[in-house]
Parts: sequence; C-alpha cells; structure tokens
Amino acid sequence: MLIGTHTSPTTMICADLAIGWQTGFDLTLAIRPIGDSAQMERTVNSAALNLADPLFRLLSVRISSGEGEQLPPSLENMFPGDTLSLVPPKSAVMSASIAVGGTTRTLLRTPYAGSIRCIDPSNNSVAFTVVGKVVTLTAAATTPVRIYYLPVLSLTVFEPFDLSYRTSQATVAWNIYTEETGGVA
Amino acid sequence: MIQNLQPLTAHDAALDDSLHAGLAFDVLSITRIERRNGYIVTPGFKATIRNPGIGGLSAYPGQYFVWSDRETLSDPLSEVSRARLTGLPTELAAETCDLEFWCLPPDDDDVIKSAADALRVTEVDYDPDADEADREAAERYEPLCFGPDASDDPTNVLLARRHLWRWHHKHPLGVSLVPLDVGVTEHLVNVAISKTVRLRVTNPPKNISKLRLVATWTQTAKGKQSMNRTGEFSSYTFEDFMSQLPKSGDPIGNDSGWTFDSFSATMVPSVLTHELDADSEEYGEAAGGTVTIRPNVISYDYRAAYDYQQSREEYLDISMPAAKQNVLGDLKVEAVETISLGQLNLDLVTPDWRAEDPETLDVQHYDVGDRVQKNDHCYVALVDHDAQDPFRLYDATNPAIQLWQITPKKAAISDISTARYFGAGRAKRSERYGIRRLDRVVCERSLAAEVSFEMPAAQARDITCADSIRLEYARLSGGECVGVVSSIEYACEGSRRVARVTILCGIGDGSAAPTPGEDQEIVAGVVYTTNYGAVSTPVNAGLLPSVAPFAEVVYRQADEQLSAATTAAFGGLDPIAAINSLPTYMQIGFPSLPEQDLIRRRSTISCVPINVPKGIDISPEV
Repeated sequence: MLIGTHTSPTTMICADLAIGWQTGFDLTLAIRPIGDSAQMERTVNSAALNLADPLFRLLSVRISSGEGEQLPPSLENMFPGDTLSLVPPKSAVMSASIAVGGTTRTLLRTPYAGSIRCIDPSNNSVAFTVVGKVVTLTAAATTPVRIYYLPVLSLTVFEPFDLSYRTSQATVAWNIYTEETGGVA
Repeated sequence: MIQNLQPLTAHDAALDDSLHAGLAFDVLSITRIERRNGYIVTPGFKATIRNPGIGGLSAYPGQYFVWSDRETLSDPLSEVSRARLTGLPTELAAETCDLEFWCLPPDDDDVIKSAADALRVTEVDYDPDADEADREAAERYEPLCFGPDASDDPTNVLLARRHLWRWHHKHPLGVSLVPLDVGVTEHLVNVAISKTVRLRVTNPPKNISKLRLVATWTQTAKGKQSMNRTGEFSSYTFEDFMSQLPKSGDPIGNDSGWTFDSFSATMVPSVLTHELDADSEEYGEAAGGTVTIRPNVISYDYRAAYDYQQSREEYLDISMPAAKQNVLGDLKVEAVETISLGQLNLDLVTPDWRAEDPETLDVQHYDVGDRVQKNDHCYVALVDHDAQDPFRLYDATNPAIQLWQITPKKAAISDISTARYFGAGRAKRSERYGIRRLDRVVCERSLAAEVSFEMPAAQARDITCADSIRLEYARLSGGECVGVVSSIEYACEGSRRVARVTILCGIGDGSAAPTPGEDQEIVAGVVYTTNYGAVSTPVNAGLLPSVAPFAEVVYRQADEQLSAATTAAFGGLDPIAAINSLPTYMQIGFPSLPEQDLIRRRSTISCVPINVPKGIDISPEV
C-alpha cells in the first residue's frame, strides 16, 4: 500500500479510463484472441482448417478490479461500441522472437515508445533499432532473440461494464470487456 | 483478405485502387451467389449491411458496385464481382438491411436477345449430306417449332444444344454460352469440410426417353393440267352439241375433283353430203322427194383442272436410351415431349408487319433488309423508314420512294402437294433437331447425382457455374466424384469464409462413345437407325398435271347418225327424226380424286444408348 503518493499503483496507461488515486490497486487483465479468430473445422481428409480470415487475429482484453478498490474509473463513456486506447501494465508484455541468423522482425502491434527489450536466452540485452513496428538487430542473431514490448491497443467496448459497490467495506468492484477495434485503414 | 465494396461510375468502369478500396457501407456479410436454374445462370451477390437509412441508399438504386479484395493494403485490388444494385431492400427500418446485386449489364434484355438471335438459323438451303460442321447450326434450331415471335424468348435456342446462358460475374458484363455437362475449368477440391458432404440422386432419365415430332399438313394439289386436249369428229346434230358446251368451272363428273378450266369448239361444214328419200308423212306435199343432209366437223379443245386436298399427319418417334448406371425405379419408358411442327408451307420466320411497337407504342422503325409479312406476301425493306399506317409499298408523301419490295417466302417446303415429309431433304433437319433436343433432355437428366458440400472460401473464390469440380472424398466409390457446379455461394460472414457448393455428377456408365455401323447415322455423337413408314398415296398428286382421262369418247358420231337416217329413209320413215333421236354427245371422265380421312404415317428413330458423362460411381460392382 503506497501511502502518501496520490496516484494509482497500476502501470497500465489508459487516459480514457482516467485511472488515478484509489483506483487500480489490484487490476487483472485477461488477454486472449477473440472467438471469431477461430472457425475451426476439419476437412473430409481430417486436416485441421481455420475458416476464419487472418484479419480477425485480434485480442480481447477484460480488465477487472481486485482487492481494495475504492473508486471506479471513468466508466460513463464505456458503453459497447465506445473506443479506448490502452497500454497494458508492465507485467503484461507481448513477446515475439527472432530466430538465429535473423535480423529483423515486424511487430503485429504498435509498440509503446521505449517499451521494447531484446534479450538473448541468458537474459543479456541485444542491441537493436526500431522504426515504427520494425525491430532491427544491429547484428544478426547468434542465439534466439526474444522481443518483449508493451503494445498500444485500440480497443472497443464489447459488453456492458459491471460496477458494484460494497458499502460495509466502502469498496467497489468493476470489470469491462473490450476487443481490439480491428479493421483496415 | 480485405474486402472492398464501392460504387462504380459506370458498369464498365475499370477497377481503380484509388477509387474502389474500402467499404461504401458497414458490411456485416457479403456472399457471391450463382445458381443453375433453368436455362440462364445469373450471378449476383448479397450483402447484409448496417442500415444507412433511406437517404443513404436512395442514391444508389440501379447503380453498379464492384466488390474486390486484396491481401494487404499494399496489394492491388482484385475484382471478385461487379453487379447492379436492384431496387431498395424490402425491410428498411431494421438495424440491418440486405442488399441484392445482379451481374447484368444495363441493357441485359437486348444483349441476351441479340446473342440468341445469332443462333437462330432460319430457312436455309439445308443439305442433309453435308459435313456435320456445316449443317450443325441449322440442326440446333428448327424454325418450324417456333413462330415469328421466337426471339422473345432467348432460352429457346438452347433446347437442342448442351449449353446454358451464363452472365459474366466480372468486368466486362455480358452473356455467353457455357457447356451443360462439362466444366470450362476443372477445379480439384480436397478440402471439403467434414460432415457437410451430402449426396442425393434426383431425377435420372428413364431407361428409354421418347420424343415425338408431329408434322401436320393438308396435302393440296390445285391447278390446271399442263396440256390442252384436242380432237375432232363429225356430227349432224352440231347445233345441238355446240349449244351445250360446258363452261369454265363446270365439274367433270360428280365430286370427282375435276373441273373444266376451259372448253371451246369450232365447227366447219363437211364437204360430204348425202341425199336421202323423204317419204314419210311429215313431208306432206314434198313426200317422195329427197333431203340433203350435211354434217359439220367439230374441233374441240379443252383443258381440265384439278383440286385435291388430303389431310396428312406424320409421327416421328425418337427413342433414346442413355448409357447410364442403374438407378432404382428407372426401368421404364418415358415420353418426354411431343413437338408439333408448324405449318410446313407457311413462312414462320418472318414477322408480321406492324405499325407500332407493342411494348412502347412507338412507331415501328424498319431498316434496310428487314423482312415482314403482310397480306399473305413477304416483303423486304428497301430504305430505312418509320412504318406508315396503313401498309403501303411506296412512301405516302413521296411516291418515288419505294419502301417495300415483294420477296419469296421462307417456308420449310414450297411444294405443298407432297405426300411425305419425314425421311428426306428438309425433313432431315427436323429429325436431327429432334434428336439433339432429346439428347439435351436426357443429358441434363443424367446429371442426377447431386453432391453438396462446404469448403474454405479461399479455394472457391473464382469457381463459377461454368466450371466443374473434382471432389476427393474417401467415402465415395473410387474416392472421388466429378461434376459441374450447379450452385456456389462464396460467403464472407463475419470472420467465417466458407463456400457452399453443389455439383451435379453424371451417372453415365463410362462406356465409350458409340460409332455408327452399317445403315446407321450419327448426329452430335448420337448413333441411330431410321425406320420410315410407307407413304399411303391414294392419289398421286404429282401426276395430276399430266394424267390422261380414262374416258374421252364421242358417241353417235355422223356415221352412226347417217346409218340410222338411211335405215329410216329406206323404211319410209323420217331420216331427220332418226338423226334427232340420236344426238351426238361426248363423255369425258377423269379418275376421281377421293379425299380420305386423315392419313397418318408413323416413322421411328432408334438411338444407340447415348454417351453421358460419368462423374460418380453409384452402383459399384461388389
């Protein structure tokens, strides 16, 4: 419990939710691909088949409050169809990799500025440059290189939020279900 | 795949990456649909969109849209289909609405009509012994089966060919013939989705399919004989004879069918005279004297006319088995169709003249070379002109301009006195048309195994009803089947990209195409033998112009009259009275032309089992 610092303890960045003091003490982010990314069938010859278009490879994000939440975030504009931009907390990093001999990798999502780390299996930093979504190692990888980054997620609220108050404890509980907005420019 | 749906400025505008990317509406699902239904395949697509409100749609009715896709934003657009938005959706107030688009050019009626008219072969010099390639076009269309308004229906040119009309689903929009029983392109599909494969047998042809052609006409022979008949004789009762000459049109005999076209006679006094005793009491004071009698030589000259009519009907029964696998319940004979041919001697290909267009009520316009029928004659236009009512050959305001010129009719047979139709010449065209027509029916029915399945849309994007599919499926005998695509839905529904396909597989038995043996003919791959019935001709109409009378006798000529008069005078009786009691007369008789009730002739054509595609094995040998 951080006493005296009047900010939220979470490292999640979401201006649209206006998270601040007494909010976000114990947030849970559940991230998984949306259901529409899978239209699984099998062919008559038993081969697995995903009938879903690759454009639908999108993530869903459920943000839930935890113990000790005292004030809800700004939920008034979080009705289904409303959009928000979100950078997950530092522990919720996305990961990619570059195989031995490779030098570049195009990330699927826009990385949050300064959040990219490239490390080898022994946790040593590997030098790289980044332009937009393209990560380029300064030298070809000699070991598999893991890339961790915080994506900037463009989300759309898909379900009505839950918000409940517990008066004896003076606490609140809330959660909101979003999915990546998708679409092509 | 990124889907794009955008309006076009014109139906033939080129696809443009800068204009046609993105979605004009919020499209929830879009499905390309194409189905064999009857004789015309009209592709199109349906889209479910978020309702943009009546204002958002009203700008578009009748407008063309192009549906395209691309893998990424940096790829060029690739056209999936283009089509015309038809009308406004029926439900306009809901959250979503369904739009229908059909791949038709703006003047689709005219396009398909002119394409069909190009296949209509009217009355031509048909040579039944020419190479098949030269006579094929004529055998695929029989004007006797259709009237002058045949071009109103563009599908009737398909009745005797294994083809369908199909509108193109992409630029350029138009129509073309696609084969009925084989695919233009064969696609191999081994990714059918499990549990979606269905097989059912529809309506296979019976063991033997029959088609009857009926030709009906009134055999008519009417005219005058080619030669006058002449003769001369002597008679003492010439005045009596000359006063009773038959007139033109008088019948010869009773109901014989013969009349006099003309009858004339002249007489010249003979140089021979005879003196006879006139002793009888009629001569009074002059009794005991003599009378001098002189005959006249009469020359006659007549021509007979005939009028013969006989109702005739000919049946030609074509029986056609198919070389197919056995299906339960098909051990029967089925009469598929009876086709009555039109009047053989009428012009069935030239339309009647008309003053105005019946649909638009505009004045009818005629171009040089247009043919019309009017007042039982056929005319050809000499100048471009608007129809002048009433019909006139010369321009109403400037009589120097000739509008129409008479021209021979285009009839199947010009000589209506014929006693037979099927078996030779022009009739061979009718027969072979009948064979081709039945061949189409049997072939279409032989595509009786209907296999439907779903497959990933990506492999089905460019499959159309003009194509065929070879489906690999372990549960089928032989592990696969081949069939023409009868319907396809290429669906983008949310994230799901699936194609729902139905193919029609032939149930042929795989036997080799037949080859003609002795006394057999072959048309369009159909081998057949003919058996023509005998022609019943109670009257040989062809001989009527020259047939001789069975009787043309002059009775009681001058010699007989003279001998009677001499005998009378010798016996003291009046020789003149004796002559008068034996007036000269002439008897003319022609063989009568009996009209019978309808004379019917039956002929048959028996086909060797015809070759139909084998796309599936539904009766595997155990």
